[in-house]
Amino acid sequence: MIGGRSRKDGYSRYFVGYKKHTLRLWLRQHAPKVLLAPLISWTAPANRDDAVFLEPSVHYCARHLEWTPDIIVGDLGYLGLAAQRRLREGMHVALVTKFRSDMILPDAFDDPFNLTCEQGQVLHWLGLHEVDQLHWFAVTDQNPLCNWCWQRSSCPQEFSFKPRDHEILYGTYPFGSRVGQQLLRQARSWIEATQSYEKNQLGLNQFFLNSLRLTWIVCLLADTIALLRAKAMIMDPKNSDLLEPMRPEQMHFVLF
Amino acid sequence: MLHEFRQQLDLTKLRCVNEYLLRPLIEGTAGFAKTVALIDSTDLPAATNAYKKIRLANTVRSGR
Repeated sequence: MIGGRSRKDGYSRYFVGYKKHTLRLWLRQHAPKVLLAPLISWTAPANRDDAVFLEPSVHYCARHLEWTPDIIVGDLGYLGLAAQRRLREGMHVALVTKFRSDMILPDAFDDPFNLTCEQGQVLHWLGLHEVDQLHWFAVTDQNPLCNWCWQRSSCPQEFSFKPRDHEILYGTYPFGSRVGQQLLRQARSWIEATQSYEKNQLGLNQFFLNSLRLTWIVCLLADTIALLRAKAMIMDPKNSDLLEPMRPEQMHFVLF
Repeated sequence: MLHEFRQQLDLTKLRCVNEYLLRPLIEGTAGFAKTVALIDSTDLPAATNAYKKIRLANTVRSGR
């Protein structure tokens, strides 16, 4: 059960142990602060691939909670074009992941962020037409190259692509679109804080984990605590900062 | 006591407790157009320090 992990200072590339795979829901009803609630957790030996837990997590939500999230944001470990397609077509769940650098770009893309026409004009995503299942891209620049283009008279200036042409670059939310980038850059970064809460404040990384069964129990108990905390924060939001008396006060510097 | 507590904890029961706690939270998201979820894994190193090789300490010979 030797597993790999992302490079961090002071930690080795590999470790012996387990991994807790968790699908978390972004609770938007808690407006003051970002709050994530665990939907489903799996505990497995660290050598198991991350991607195998994606589809079972969504199916578990559908079967036990009669509900599925609309969008799931994951890292490269959960990347799987076939699984992404099955989720999108079969369960109407959009998986947004990063684009791996060694993947082959479709001809329409100069780089993963920019879709261009034949003559090099950047096209912006207008949206997905649900009925036709077509993504529409168009020229939205104030001063486009089209003004000087010799193909202008015959160019529709709006182009459509099927989501299945590339599950990451098109999918339900194209990777390069504002929505896609917002989800990957802003939403995904909050996972670190949630994991830090579980590992450092709940003490998950200090447990003497010597069996998979014990790890399962501890991880599910950690989820229970996180859910109770989320419930308490939503039902009885506290505006006051309990740590306020402990915070250092700013000095009044009068230099001149 | 902690051991007995864990013995009686069934994973299915724990899952049921979590589902019970989740339902009202999910219902609370009904007013939003789209729901967002994040998936990720966290490392939990196993307790393997006991199996580390311990070099024997040098001892002074007692014989002359």
